[in-house]
Amino acid sequence: MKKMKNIGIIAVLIGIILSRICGDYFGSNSQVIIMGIAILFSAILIAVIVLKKYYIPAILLTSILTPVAISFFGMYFNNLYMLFGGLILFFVALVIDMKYLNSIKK
Amino acid sequence: MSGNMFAYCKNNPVGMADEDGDRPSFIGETASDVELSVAKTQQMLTGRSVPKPVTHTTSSSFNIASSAKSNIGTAVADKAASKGVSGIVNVSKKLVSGALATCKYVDAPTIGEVIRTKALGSFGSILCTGSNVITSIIHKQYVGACMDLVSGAAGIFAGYGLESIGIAIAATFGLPELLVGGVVFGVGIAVGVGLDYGENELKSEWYKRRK
Repeated sequence: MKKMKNIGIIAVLIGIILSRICGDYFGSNSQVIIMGIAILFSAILIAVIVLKKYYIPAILLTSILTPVAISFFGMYFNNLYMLFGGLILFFVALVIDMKYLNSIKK
Repeated sequence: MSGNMFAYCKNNPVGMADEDGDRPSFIGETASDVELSVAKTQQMLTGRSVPKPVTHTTSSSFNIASSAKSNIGTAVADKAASKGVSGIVNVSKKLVSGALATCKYVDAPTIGEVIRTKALGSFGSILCTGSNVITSIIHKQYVGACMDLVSGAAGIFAGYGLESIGIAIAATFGLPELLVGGVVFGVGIAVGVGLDYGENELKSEWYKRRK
């Protein structure tokens, strides 16, 4: 657990800073590329988790990756409804996953 | 192609000319005029700042008043946040009373615990959000400031939520931390980029409509 300390918030911070720097220098298309690379990276790691036969964690992680992928397509098609819909779904999936993880531990 | 003999100068043969056959330009127009025009158009389309042409007559852009305001705002936001979370201590190394928990509440945290709660990520996010909000308020974009606040809060919530889910999955299912951490890191970056992009697009849509 020590390795994962603050990794989530630092990742979001790095994402925001990267998005601003690349957005200012290369335009909004670069933000789409960065997001695509990040999602691809996560998807590959989830595939590795599936290959290691951890199926339930893979489903849980896919449930939070899918709404982000919807947001990515919203960015790609320049559709704000899709983008924000994906982000809202992401928060809903976060809450559902938290509740599920707490319930199975009890 | 269309049979229009003045198509080469956009139907304006009096004001425009195309001497080199590349593209029409206004008679008397210089290269710097074109650059300025392109920069302005780009700014209008993207809603982002573009580098201004270099002029040697301008003075330094550092403004003591705005810098002081921004620093005070950031310091107040940071102080308030650290005060708010000072009672919550990260205990991700162990399970509390048989239940899975990534945090526990303590009445009197020690100095070490208080320092640990003031993590780099949340400090940076608050700094980013604070500077954005102050900049929006200075430019009298109050709706934009609210959007900055909401985006910053959503970013911090997403970061902590992802982290707690990652720790919980690793602890519950015995998954390698590196794999879960990698997924959490990738999703975190994607969410950060998405939030920033969405906020900028929404802001530019709003202020374009208001003009």
